[in-house]
Amino acid sequence: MIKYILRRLVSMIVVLLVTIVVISTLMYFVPGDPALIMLGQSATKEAVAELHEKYHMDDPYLVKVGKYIGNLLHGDMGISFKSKTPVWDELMARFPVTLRITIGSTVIGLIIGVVTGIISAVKQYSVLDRILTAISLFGASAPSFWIAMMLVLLFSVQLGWLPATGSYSWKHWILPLFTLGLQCSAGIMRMTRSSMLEVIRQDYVRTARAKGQSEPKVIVNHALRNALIPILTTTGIKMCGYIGGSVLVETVFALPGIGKYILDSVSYQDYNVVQGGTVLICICCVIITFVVDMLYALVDPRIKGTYGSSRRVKKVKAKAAVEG
Amino acid sequence: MKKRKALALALCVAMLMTLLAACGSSDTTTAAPDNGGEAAKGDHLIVVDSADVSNLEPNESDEQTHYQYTRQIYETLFVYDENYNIQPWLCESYEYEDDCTIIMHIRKGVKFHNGDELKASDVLFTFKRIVDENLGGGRVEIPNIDIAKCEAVDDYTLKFVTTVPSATQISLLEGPATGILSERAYKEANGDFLNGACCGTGPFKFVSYKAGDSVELEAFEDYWREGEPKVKTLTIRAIPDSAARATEAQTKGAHIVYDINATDIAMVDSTDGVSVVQDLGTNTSYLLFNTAMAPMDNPLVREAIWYAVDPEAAVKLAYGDFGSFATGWVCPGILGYDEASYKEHKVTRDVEKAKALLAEAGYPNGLEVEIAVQGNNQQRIDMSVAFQAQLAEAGITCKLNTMESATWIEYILSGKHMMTIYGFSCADFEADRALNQLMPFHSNFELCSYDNADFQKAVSEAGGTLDRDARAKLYVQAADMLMKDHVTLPLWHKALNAAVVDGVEGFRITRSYEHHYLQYVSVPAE
Repeated sequence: MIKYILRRLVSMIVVLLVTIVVISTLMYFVPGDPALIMLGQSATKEAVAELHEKYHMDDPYLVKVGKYIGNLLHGDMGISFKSKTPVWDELMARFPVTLRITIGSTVIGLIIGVVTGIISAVKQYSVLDRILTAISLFGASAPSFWIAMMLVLLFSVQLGWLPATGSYSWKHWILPLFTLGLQCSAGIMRMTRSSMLEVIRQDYVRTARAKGQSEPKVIVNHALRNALIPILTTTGIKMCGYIGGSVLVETVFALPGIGKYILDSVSYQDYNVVQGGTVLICICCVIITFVVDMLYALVDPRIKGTYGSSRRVKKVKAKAAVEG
Repeated sequence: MKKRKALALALCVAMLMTLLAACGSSDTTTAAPDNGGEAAKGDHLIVVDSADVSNLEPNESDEQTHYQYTRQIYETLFVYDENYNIQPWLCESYEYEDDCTIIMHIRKGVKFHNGDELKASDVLFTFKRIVDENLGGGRVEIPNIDIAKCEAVDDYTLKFVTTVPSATQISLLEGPATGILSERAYKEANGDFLNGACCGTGPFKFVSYKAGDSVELEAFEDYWREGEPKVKTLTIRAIPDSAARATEAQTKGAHIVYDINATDIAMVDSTDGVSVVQDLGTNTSYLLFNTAMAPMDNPLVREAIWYAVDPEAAVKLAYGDFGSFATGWVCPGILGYDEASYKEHKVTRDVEKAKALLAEAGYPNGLEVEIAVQGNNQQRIDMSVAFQAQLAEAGITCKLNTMESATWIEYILSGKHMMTIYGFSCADFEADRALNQLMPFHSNFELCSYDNADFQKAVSEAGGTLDRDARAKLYVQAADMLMKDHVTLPLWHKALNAAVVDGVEGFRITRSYEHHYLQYVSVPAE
């Protein structure tokens, strides 16, 4: 298991490094002059030139990328051109909102998706299955901003039950979390259904029933556990998407998350924020993927077993080659 | 088995009740944030602005949305009254020692939020900091200051010296980017505006900042104006998305919501208990021609385009009844506004004449032109689409080059465009701010690259002319040249608006820098 974790950690670091270089390179070639945006209508040409010098905006490519990676290793993502505060501080001020959106909507999506997916699989081709499948198809295809607007119109504007924007109390979180949660549940429901259908007719499930186990136990302990891998994969992908991709929901509900912040920073040409934000999202995605990988091994011991035996096989082959 | 069923049923009921509780109506307006619950008692004002403030530095930013926050904390030496006449504020009175020297008498008994009394040395420190650190927003308000010669004569007297006679200097000192900050607070906090340096003399003092979301302020108990502010606490929230702002106004989640999109005004205004107030701003949008870029370097081509387009129809399409179709080179009420002169140069659409001019210019079979369009401004996109259709009738194929905002700005400020739609503000109520942007020393020069010595002479001369009437004539003269040479076609005078909940009193739109004074605002007691 330790080797499995170590190997995952190494690949995680490599992916991160490559991504940082790619992002830095892309940012270097992005057109635009942040100085013009920062100084606004009142800027003189001298002021623009001074700002270029102050923020080393005209450094050559290699110097810029090298400096960025060097600083990043020291935990320095640079200064936001707009707020003049460290990018890291700005991102961390917004990260809890993003994290809450990501975790909250994923949990809602998982609860609804897994339960409805199981029901659909167990009651395959029933009326209930067809209704749930239709709802999930709708959920998967309806854009999140549209769902968000419909929920706001109904619950905030028409009924006045829930606040339309902000993040000041638990009530403020209901609409945004359900917007993303419902959409998330659609994908998870479809994955749970198909995955459950694959395992539900397996011999070991039949054996469990034959041994007289109750149906819920058979479904949960024998079928669901073996169907979890694709569900975990889907959940991990969804979470990665929400970390930086819940911009539309953040916009509609005026939530100060990092996705919206990065988008606004693009308009402001605050490239340090864009770069730092993208790196942070990348780090989060790598961590989520790592956790999902760990969960694979936890859910299905065969995975670490396979990993372990393949290494052993290689060692044996190598030893044989040397001896041969 | 029965026990299990009962347990399952109980769980279902519990879940249902939780859901109902979550969705249930609360005792106050649920649409208001919890920290705004006190609004019902009439002591907590909630305002929605269209942008986050990022930091609370008063002198650097050039953005009007930034001033909505800082204006409540820092004050300036002068302000405009309801009729937009300049009035002393932190400066109680002043006199000119000579054309370049103003002796300012600082108001006594004014306190900063840290308890220190405002002194001339704080004012001097603020100006010195603006100059030394080249803070863009503040620098433009004291363009000709001779900081080495400025001095704090005593605690309440400041000698303000300019390098050349500066006609608009007093009105420029109304600019919120010259907000006076406490020297001691700034130095003790090492310039950290979220941790101590945010210390002005304004009606509200800083409490907290939630990044990307809101700023909490509270009434300053030692504020020098009796009975102000009218509320105990003020929350300014940032909602950049115009649709979300409109929704917030409709749900009455805030007492005042700034900047309702032109297309949402009717919808918000028709909401029970909410009304939209409007007033003209100081910004005018223009169709700008880059005279350095072929074929716009040909005056006949520019004239042909003036005849080919119908700006009034384009403005109506984009803005409906919001704001007003341009009636002068600058907005009414701005020094330099001259409707008669504008009418003289305004042309009525004449497609045949446009074709004839094109033929004369060497394009008998029409030509291809391009408008650089700001992608995140729907109204400017709409106007450009209208121009495209109108130009087509005159045989001019117009390509719309729609770009993301930052790319567009860089594109037009580096003079790569043929035409674009752009706005100039005259926050000091004089045309100089707009005209100066077309001068060669300005970073906006390449918007038009208008290299006309007479124009530059008129603008420069106006800046040093202390006589108001003479200055106005020079402004009109300069604007006339821009229209006579078909360089800037005025389109639309921008309006400002805000959705205000019924019962809110004392709120009025401030035209100058689009920052609204909230110390006079009271909220209804429910």
